This record gives sequence, structure tokens and C-alpha cells, in this order.
Amino acid sequence: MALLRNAFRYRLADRPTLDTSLFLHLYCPTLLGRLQPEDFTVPKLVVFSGSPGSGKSSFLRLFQTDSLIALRMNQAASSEDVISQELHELGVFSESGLRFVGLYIECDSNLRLLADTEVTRNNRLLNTLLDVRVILAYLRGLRQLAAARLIPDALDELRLRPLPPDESPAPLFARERLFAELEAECTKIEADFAVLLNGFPGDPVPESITPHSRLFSLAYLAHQLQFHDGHWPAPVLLLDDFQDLYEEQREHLQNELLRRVAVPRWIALRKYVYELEHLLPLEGTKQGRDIREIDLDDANHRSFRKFLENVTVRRLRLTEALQQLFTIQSFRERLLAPSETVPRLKISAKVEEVLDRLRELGGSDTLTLPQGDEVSIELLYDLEKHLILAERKAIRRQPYILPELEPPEPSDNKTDEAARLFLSARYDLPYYFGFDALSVAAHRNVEQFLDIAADYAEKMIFRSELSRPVDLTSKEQHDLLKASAKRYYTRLEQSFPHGYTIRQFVENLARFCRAVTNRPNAPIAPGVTGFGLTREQLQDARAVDGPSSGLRVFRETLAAAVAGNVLSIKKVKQGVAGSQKFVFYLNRLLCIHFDLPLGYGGWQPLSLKTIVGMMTAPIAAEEMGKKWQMQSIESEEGE
Amino acid sequence: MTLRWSDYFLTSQFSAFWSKRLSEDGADVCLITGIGFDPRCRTALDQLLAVGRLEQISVLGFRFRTALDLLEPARELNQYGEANLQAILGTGVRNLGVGEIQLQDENRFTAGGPNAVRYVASQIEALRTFRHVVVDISGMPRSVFYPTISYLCNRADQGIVKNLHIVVSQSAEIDTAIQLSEFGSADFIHTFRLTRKEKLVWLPVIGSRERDRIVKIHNQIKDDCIEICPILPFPAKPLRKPDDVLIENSEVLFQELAITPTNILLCDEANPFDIYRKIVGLHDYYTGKLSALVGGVTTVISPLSSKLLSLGALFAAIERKLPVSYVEAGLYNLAPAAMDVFRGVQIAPVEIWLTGEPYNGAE
Repeated sequence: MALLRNAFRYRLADRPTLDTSLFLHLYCPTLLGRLQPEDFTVPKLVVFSGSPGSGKSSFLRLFQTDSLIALRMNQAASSEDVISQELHELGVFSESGLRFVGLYIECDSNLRLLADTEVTRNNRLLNTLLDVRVILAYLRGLRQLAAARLIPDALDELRLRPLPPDESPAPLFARERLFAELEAECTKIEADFAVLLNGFPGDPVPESITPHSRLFSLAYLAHQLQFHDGHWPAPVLLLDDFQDLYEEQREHLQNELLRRVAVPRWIALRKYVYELEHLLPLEGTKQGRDIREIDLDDANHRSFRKFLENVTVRRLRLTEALQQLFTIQSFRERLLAPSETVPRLKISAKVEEVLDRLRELGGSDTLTLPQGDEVSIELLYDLEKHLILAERKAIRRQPYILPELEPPEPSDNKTDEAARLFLSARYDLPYYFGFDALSVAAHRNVEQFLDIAADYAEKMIFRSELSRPVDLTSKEQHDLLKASAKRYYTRLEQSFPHGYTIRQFVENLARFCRAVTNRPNAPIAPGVTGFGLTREQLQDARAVDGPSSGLRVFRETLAAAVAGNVLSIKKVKQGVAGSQKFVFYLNRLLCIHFDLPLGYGGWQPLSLKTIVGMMTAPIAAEEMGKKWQMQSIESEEGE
Repeated sequence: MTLRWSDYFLTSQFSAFWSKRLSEDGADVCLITGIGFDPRCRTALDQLLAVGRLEQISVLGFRFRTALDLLEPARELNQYGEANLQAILGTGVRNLGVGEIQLQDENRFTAGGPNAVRYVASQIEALRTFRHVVVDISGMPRSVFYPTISYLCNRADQGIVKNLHIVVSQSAEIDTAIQLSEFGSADFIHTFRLTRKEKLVWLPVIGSRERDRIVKIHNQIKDDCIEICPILPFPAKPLRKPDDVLIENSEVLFQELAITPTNILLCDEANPFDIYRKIVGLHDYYTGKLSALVGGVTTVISPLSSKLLSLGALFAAIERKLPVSYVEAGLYNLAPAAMDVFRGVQIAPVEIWLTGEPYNGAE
């Protein structure tokens, strides 16, 4: 098999750069576990939703004819063909061949713009173009299957039966046609649609285009299967990028697809299209009777890390210079931890500041560093922890009469982590390193992971090519993550809808988070990385308002940030029973950019007015930071 | 094959040219201009008024609107746009109409092109009466002036528009002071859509720091893209410009897209007909050589560089009916002290006579 220079650089949906066989080797089948055999038979509309880069298109690509043919042909050759096994269990493969093939249709702007060409906006042209594309996708798929000898050849002269007259079919489906004839006609109609869309005001509609009152193609294909049962695989409609249609088109198509149940229908969309109330089900979870929604973003941290480990191993195996790291363990070992000591010269001035402050806060006057050219990091870490505890003790309002009876300040894991963060900041030591930091930085998005990991791999490849050890020091890992984080942050404004307000908000929020996190007593250890809103606040924000109102900015910006994975949501309970809050956490790459901890937990409530202000203009951190206090939380969702 | 504009008319002596034209008997001109925050939208009109009589000159305006009026940058730009509109109307020039052109629809999809073409089409009978129609693209986004010029060119071929001119007031300093953001998805520009599924040769005309847009456009066409030939400006001012553009985009070009350095094409930044000829030549070459091997082939253009280079690419797209893929910015930000830059820059508009008398053999 052909190897790649850096397999982490490839996105699975990149077709021309990645042939089918490489795609299949790189594909991690974890998402297949989300499917059920019923998704191929039960007449429910299956909707895959996710943020950009969550793997929707790659997932659909797995079911395209060329992928399935390649899998089928290689099935016998590979004993560790996990994907084929999964597909067998799902019933996609049978003993005799393929039972299903995907008809991949991208909802591109050609479909969307048909809305503008129709005076009445009744979506009749949309039906026509979609019908034509569905038919063409299936006919082309059959040609591929015939070429692979998975179905009988000689397709051109095959007769395709018309739909029964009682269905009042469109002319395209109303009479018997030869396979080649239908293929040519659909190709011409599709080309004429482009002529229509490229036309100027007043140009006539090409004659070949007949508006369809509804979608006929699915019923038509199901009808054909009755006559070719056993030879032809059943189609599965795969509609990708559904978000690129207008809302009324989406509603129309969704209704059409719910009614036309002849073949399985899957839709993939970015969450951008959702309003806030859909992203955060304010009225309780709606379990669709006719729709099954699969959220590709909702894996918990542990299972996502396993998924990333699988992705990493597959990519390493296909990267020429890194093939020797064929297990996740050997990759982890190449990501070195920091050394246990630092040169005294490098830290002596700053450590004196810590000691002085400890003495001020009642520590022993004899506190000094032990002799030697090297200082143990563990010692510096202990000092940092003591300083936090001493600062906490100092701000307690009611001192004990007898100091010797005063209990020691309690420490916990969170305080330990805050001390580690302070230590790194004070002495300029690496904080973000190790595979765990890498996987957390991905923020449950595989494309974000590949973006970051590709830079790790690049450095390792470079070293391997120079015949040097491929190890990455903790400082190098820290710097690579910081570079990725900076890149992510600087692209925020350009890359997302509502990017300006998202960037403005993130900047303000991060300023507040830092102000609280970096207080000497670490009041919300290990730090604040999010904000919380109550259900009532979110319901208030749904109030109808004018196009220029702040509430609209709030709704649209927050929805775009959540849909784009800039913010992730966690539902928590706080205080009285039933007092539910939605906590919005910053993307972990943003935490890295702003020197915040990677753990979840610390958050603060904010008012709508404050948030709107933070979205539209810079706000000084001091205004807000002082008011922020620790929030006790009881998570509803496992982290 | 003969090119439509193998002989062409281009001059940077804008005032002298129009002084002569407007001194002819019965000469009149309608200037179509995009009225937004960019002060260049007034340059050509001011110069026309300086050399012609008020009654000879009319204006048809596009007043651009965005969906982001609440935001500070959009509000600021709107104020500048209003000031430019008042300045134009204040000249006393005959106002044929000012159309409100919404650059994005309610779903934030790009809509400026179709809206502008519809508006111009609604005024076509009025335009028919002028001897000269001039489109000033200086303050227009590409998604607007591409379909507008294409439409007017088509109507000129039908004899409805007598003489079609384009004017560009180009200034690298002003371009640098305008920062683009909130890029949407890549899409084909209105009236320059891909007409059928075929293999693609992609010619991105590249400017500085364009990684995001390059990636977005590539994502749109990657399924069928078989060759990428980036176009850089050279000769250009400064002469180092192509090096700078390459350095700023090196990661995306050489690592992400694995461009072969020999595929890079250099085109004169100051003469749009240079890039026009080269794109047409390249398109003909690739279709001739590759069609036999891979079936249908066409060339996709992406104008991400200066207005003049974009204009040349447009001429090629009109001539060979090439698809144009582009990413429009949703928001423009002005750099600090941008207005000082605007005030301090001396701009010499470039005049291009696109259709009409010189090409008909009449004078």
C-alpha cells in the first residue's frame, strides 16, 4: 500500500488527494457503532448533525458506491477488516454482494438558488433537480457495480419501468425508458439547470426542465427494484450539507423525505442551521417519531479519547517515517514529560519573590531554597501550593485567637492543578504536554485533532528524516499547542458566521476568565473557562425583537459559536432542585491560547445584558472579575 | 483562436480621455457606481465632472447594505457610505436611481450579484439612451461587478448598450487599510456557475494572506480538481510583491495543496489584458491536451487579488464562459487611521473601453 508523507494532514472527505483504498485504511469505524440495522430499513429519516470537522462527510463517504465496492473486493484479503465486519453486522453486505449503496448528493448552492428563480417559491424546480441528481447517482453507481462485476453487465438496453399513472408522475418518470436513455436525459436536464442559473433576467427557462410537483425519484427507484430484485442493491439517499439550503427548502425537503419512505434517507448537516432552542433543548428532549437524530459531537471525553487513539494509530501506520510507532503507547512515549529539575540561575529571582511573599503571609523567616545548581520542580510546585493556601488563609475575615489552633487550609486536586498552572506561568515552564493534553485540545472534533497532531507529526518526520530520535520535549509540545491555538484564534473572525461578534465575545470572556483564574488565592481552582445561563435567561432571549436588537445578536452569535464548536455546552444542576443551568465552555484550544487550564468545572453566571455587551465591544476585566465566585455544580452529563 | 480583446483599449489618462469624448456632439455618459464606505466610488465621477458638463453626466448607484448594522464596524462603514452617497448626490449630477443592494440575504448567503443584476436590468431601457455606459468597479465587491459587467456585456452584444467602459481606481494603500472577515462558504459567482460535472483546472489569482479563502474554495472544487496553477502579480509594485505573496501563503500552497512551483503563473498587475490572454491560453491548452485523457475539462478562476487582475480574469471568464469560484467577505473592518490613508492617497483611475465603437470599426 502507498504510504503518505504525513497522514495527519489528510481529511477523509478529500477525495482527489486520497484514493478509496487509503481512505478506508484511515477511516476509524467508531462512528459506525452509532448506526443500527434499522437505519437501513425502518422508514425513519436519519439526521447526522455536528460541528464542522466532526466527520459527517467522511461518514457518508463510507457508504458511497466506490468505497463499498473497494471494501467488498478487499474483504477476503484482510483479516483485520473491522469496517467490513461492522457493515456485515449492519446488513450492508450479504453473502452474495452489496445490499445497499449510498446516493451521495451535496446540497450545493445550485439547489439553494433555485428558490430565487421560482417566482412562487413552491420548490417545484428544487424537486426536479433533486430527482435528476438522485437518478443519476443511482445509475452511475450501477455502472460502477457492473464494472466491478458485482451486478450483471449490459445495462444500456435495460428497460426501466414507469411509475403507475395513479401516482401522477412527472413526465421523466411517466414512460418506459432505456437505462442509457434515462441517463442521457438526466444529464442534459442537469446541464440545463446550470444554464438557467447562469441566465440573465428575462432569459427563458430551458425546455427540458419540467417542474415536479413533488419528489418522484425515490418511489421510481423503489419501483425499479421490484423488477430487478436480487441483482440491484437498494439505494440509501445521502444528503450532505443540508445546512446550505434555505430554511423553507429544508422544511419542504424534510416533509417530502418524511412522506417518501420507499428508500432509507440520511441527512447530514452542520448545526449552524439550528436556532438556540434546538441546540439547547429548552423544552426537554424531543424524541422524534419520524426522525432519528445522531449528534456526532456528543461523545463523552473518555470514548472520544479512545476514538482519537484509534485515529492516531491508523495515521501513524500510513505515515512513512513514523511507521515504527505502530501503537498508541509508543506514540505516547515519544511525547516526553518535563525534566524533574530546573537550573537555579533560571528561577532564582522569581523563587525569591515567592519566598518573600510566604514570609509576609506568616511563613518562617528561615524559608530558603536548598543548595545546588539544580532545583527540583516538585519543590517549586510545593511552594506554589503553599502560597495559594497561605493567600487563602490571609484573606479569611475572622482570624483565630490562638494561631496554633488554626486548622491548615485544605488542599485538593483542583488546588494542586491551579498550583501547576501558576508554576508554569511564573517560571515559564511547559504546561500543555502529553497525549492527554493533545486529545483534550481537540475539543471533541476530529478535524481539530488532525490539525494539531499534523504539526506534531511534521516535527517527528523531520527528525526521523535526519535519523534523529523522534521524541518531542514537553517544551516543544507546549509550543506546538500554543501555535495551533494562536492559529485557531486568529482564524475565528474569518472562519465562522458571526465571526466578528464571536471573536469579540471570546476575547472579553477570556479576559475575565484569566482575571479570576490568576488571582493569588486561586478562588475557583484550577480556573474559570466558561459561563452559565439559566433556562429562564435562554427562554427570555427567544423573545421576538427587531433585526438590530441586542437579543438577536446574542441568539445568533451564541448559536453560531455552539454550532461551530467554539463553545460547548454542559447542563448542570445548582442549588435548589430543578435549577438547571447551561454552562458554555470555551473550546480548549482557546483555553490554551489564553493560558487557562484544560479541565472543565470552573464557570461563572452572566447576565444577558453583560453578554450582549461582551459581544459588541471590549469590556475591562476588572469590572467583572471581582464579583466572580466559586459555583457549586452537580453535572448532569458525564465528562 | 482569435480573442475578443486581442486588441483592446486601456488608458490611465482618464481625464484626458473623457475630456475628448465628452466634447463630441451629443456625448453623454451614465456612470454605474457602487456606493459604500470606499471613497474610491467617487473618484471617477469627480474627474468626469471636472471635464464634462453637468447635464452630460448621469449616475446609477448601488447602495450596499449588509445584515450586520448593529455591529460597530458595520455602523461605521454605513456612515461613510451615507456620506459618499450624499457627496455624489450633492454634485447636482442627474440621478438615474440608487438601488438598495442587499449584499447578503436573511440567511447570510451572498446575494449582492443577483440583486445588482436585477436592478440594472430594471434600468436597461434608460441605459439604452446613453452613448456611454461606464461601470466604476472601484467600490464594488467582486460578487457584484462580475455579474453586472457580464450582463452589460451581453446587452452590449445585443446592441442595447452602445459603448461599455470600465473604470478602476486602484490603490494598494487603501486595499491594505480594508480588512476582510466573516468569510462564508465558497460559491460560484452569479452567472459564472459550473455548468456540468467535469474535471477542473483551478487558477486562483492570489493576494496576501489568503489561506482561509484558498482552502474554502479548494474544498468546494476538490472533488474534480486535477491541476492548480496559482497566479501571482508580476510585474507589480513593489517588484518584491510576488515573493511576499508566496511567502505569506507558502504553507497553504506548498504544504496543504502541494502546488508544483512550475505551475505558478505571473501576470502583469497593471494590465488586465495580460492575465486575460494568459488564462484563455491556459484554458485552451488544458482542454486541448487533457480532454482526450480525462473527458471534459474546464478552468475555474478565483479572483483573490487586485481589482485589475480580477477584471482581467473576468474578461477571460466572459470569453470562455468559465466558472468563477469565490468567497465573499461578510464584514469589512477598517484599519486604525484608515481614513487618513484614504485622504492621503492620490488615485489615477484606469479606463478600459470594453465594447462599442473601437471594436465596431467606427469612431
